[in-house]
Amino acid sequence: MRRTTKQKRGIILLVFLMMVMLLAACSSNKDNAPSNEGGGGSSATEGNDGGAAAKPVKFSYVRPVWGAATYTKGGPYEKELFKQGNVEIDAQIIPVTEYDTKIMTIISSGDIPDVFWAAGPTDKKFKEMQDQGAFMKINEYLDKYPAVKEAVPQSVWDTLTDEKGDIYFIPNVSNPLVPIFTYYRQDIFEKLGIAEPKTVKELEAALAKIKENDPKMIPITAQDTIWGFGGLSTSFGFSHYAWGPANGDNRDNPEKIVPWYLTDGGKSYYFWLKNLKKEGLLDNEFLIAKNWDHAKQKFTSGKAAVLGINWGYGPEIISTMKKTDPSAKVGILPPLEGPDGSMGGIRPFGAWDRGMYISAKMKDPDGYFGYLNWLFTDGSDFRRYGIEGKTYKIEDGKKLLLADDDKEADYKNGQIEPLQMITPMSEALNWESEEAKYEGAGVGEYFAEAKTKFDAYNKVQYPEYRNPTIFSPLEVEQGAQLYNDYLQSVIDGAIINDKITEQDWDAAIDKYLKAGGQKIIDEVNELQTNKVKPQY
Amino acid sequence: MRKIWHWRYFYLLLAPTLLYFLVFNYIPFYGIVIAFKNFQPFKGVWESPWVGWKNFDTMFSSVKFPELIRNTVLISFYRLLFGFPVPILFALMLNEVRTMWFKRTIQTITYFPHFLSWVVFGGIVFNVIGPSGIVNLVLGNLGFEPLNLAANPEVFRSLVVVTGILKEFGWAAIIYLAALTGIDPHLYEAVKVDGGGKLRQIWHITLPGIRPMIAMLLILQLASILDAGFEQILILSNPVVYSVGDIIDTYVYRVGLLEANYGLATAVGLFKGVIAAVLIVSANHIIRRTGEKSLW
Repeated sequence: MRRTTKQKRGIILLVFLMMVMLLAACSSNKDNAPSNEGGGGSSATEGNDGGAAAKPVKFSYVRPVWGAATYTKGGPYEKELFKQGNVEIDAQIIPVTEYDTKIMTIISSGDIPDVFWAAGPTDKKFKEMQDQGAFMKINEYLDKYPAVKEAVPQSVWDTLTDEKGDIYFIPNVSNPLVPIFTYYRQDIFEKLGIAEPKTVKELEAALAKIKENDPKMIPITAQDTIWGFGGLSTSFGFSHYAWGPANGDNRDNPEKIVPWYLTDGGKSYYFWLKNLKKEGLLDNEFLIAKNWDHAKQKFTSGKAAVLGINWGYGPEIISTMKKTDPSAKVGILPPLEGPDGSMGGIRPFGAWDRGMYISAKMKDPDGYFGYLNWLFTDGSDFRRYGIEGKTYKIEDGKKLLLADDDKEADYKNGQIEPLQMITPMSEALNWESEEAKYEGAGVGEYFAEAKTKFDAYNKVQYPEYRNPTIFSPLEVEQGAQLYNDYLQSVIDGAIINDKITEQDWDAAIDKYLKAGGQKIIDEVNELQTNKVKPQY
Repeated sequence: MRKIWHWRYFYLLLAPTLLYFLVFNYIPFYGIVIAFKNFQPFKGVWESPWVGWKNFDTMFSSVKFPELIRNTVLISFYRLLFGFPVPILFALMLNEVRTMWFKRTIQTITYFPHFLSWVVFGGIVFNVIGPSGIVNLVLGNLGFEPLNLAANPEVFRSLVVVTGILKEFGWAAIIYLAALTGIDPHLYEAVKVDGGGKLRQIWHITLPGIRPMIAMLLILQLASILDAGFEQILILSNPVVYSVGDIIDTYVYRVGLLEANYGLATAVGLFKGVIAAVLIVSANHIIRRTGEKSLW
């Protein structure tokens, strides 16, 4: 074979190109992301006042989104925020249903974003990561930026302080009293002569009547799991997805606390829902459909008569319903009395709903805290309301947030939520702002009813009795495996799998307890001496 | 050495490929030690404490392990049994099409699902067979009872196999189509002269012509018998079908990844790798004994 010099050069060039491409593919894409190096600490000390001299604070940010995952970088809202806050956020969003999985995958690489959302140190996984030095200790920044510190009650900071006195986590504090309302089509109930149900039994009879009258109508649907039927679960006298008093124990000061699936109420609630499913009264996509908001869509499009959902969706649901069917009337069921006489109410959430960790490797923590501080001080107005005419309007001197449907595409929540940080405690429940949401959505007349029902639901509480900072050693070691091996298929499938019976439920619980579940319960009860019902 | 120097430009061309495999396939082997450690990502592999066989013990001591193995192997076996011949048959049929525009249109349509993620394809499947999907909508309007296809343990494995085939058969046929182009056209003419029709041509010329390719792909597919399609099953499954659809990977995802137990996930990966190696060596040996062209 005779090669010419030209051929040889060609081969060398080709190999060179391939190597370059390989190296380019292997190299980190960090260079493409906004670098932290430029900001230094200068911007923080000068404040985020948009001063021309200060370099913008740059950081990467990963957070879950509850709304539509339609965020596009470089939108006009983002530009305005960056300008006013003197910041450049490289935001990455993950739909909330996939968040826990994806963030754990990101963490497994050991290369985490500058700021990201997580459950916090009450989850043993994150506590261990804190101890491994993955996250930044924030004590000094809390002292330096008082508005950030004041955004969270001292009692919560105390809970988050570890055994060495260090704090690593910024919680997204929330009002724990967030009722799950059961909305219903008042006009359909009236047409069929059904009085507003006061008990679970009456609700069941109403659903049967709706089904009988219109077989195509879905009598009841809900956002899946606790979020949807949270209001109804309380009528069975137990704290769903929580630890509560053992069967027959005193509710205010129990001697023993157990996970919800060991309570009679938990079991009867699941098999009541199973029966609804069997009778064709429960949405046949409940726990099967993968999209987060299928139930909401069914209700607002007139396909479902009753909807269980977080009360915060009220303005959106009612305003959409009015557009779909102007003659529709939406009511909110009162807390219902359960089969064993338990009065329904609320399952309070924790003192915070997730929060943020900051990477130990973050280059400009001062800049980041300066930006957070700005959000709670000079930037507070922009954070809460956004841009006049685009995200809010002014009526009678009051700022009213626009309903998402009334906003231009570039200013919808999908473009705002990805850039939001935490909400300060002072705004966790502000009735003026809640009323403004209803008025902004054009359904102000429904606000009084919502507030009345809010108070009614909050009268009876079924809280989490377990102290989240206490870990059972066996649970840390084997808890996930024991739950997966013995309980998950029965608990997750009980409502929708026809083949799972009450005997199967009991048998699974029995096996779980024998395999180690009982030891976990004993350890928790031994370690947690104070089991008094938390008050909110 | 003289030979190497003589073929130096060929070796130079080979170098990036060798480098690629070294960097991405061999150096990461050091990560296998994670299977024997309580891996803590922020401490790094070597700083994480050793735990011996604990991760393997966790996996094998699970009461669900037999069920997971059964589900994984059954789904893979069905996939092999029903899915393996489909691209071959499709390639054979497509090879007989003489109208080029029709052939290309069909190819494009059948390749397309390969480029969709399972999240998207799973959504389409759910919209077709879900409780409120197109199938049940049509059945309902025709006055029939709705079919429970999306949450029915009796049909779940069939659903996994059928949707898997639908998504990938077009793409998988490419390699057979490429192999078909390598068959000498004179051989077909010889069969025609001997009076053989289309089926005879396929049986005596086409199939033997691509037999080495079929054997090789079969060996490779056997190696992945413990990979039953994690993403697909995660997307299509629901609590009703756990008993027939929960596979090793979905379990590891819940107990390993979601709980930050990366050692367990690696241990299972190592276990699957060892089984795959045994299978691939055995299959290669058997195929070589039957006189077919084997991988090595």
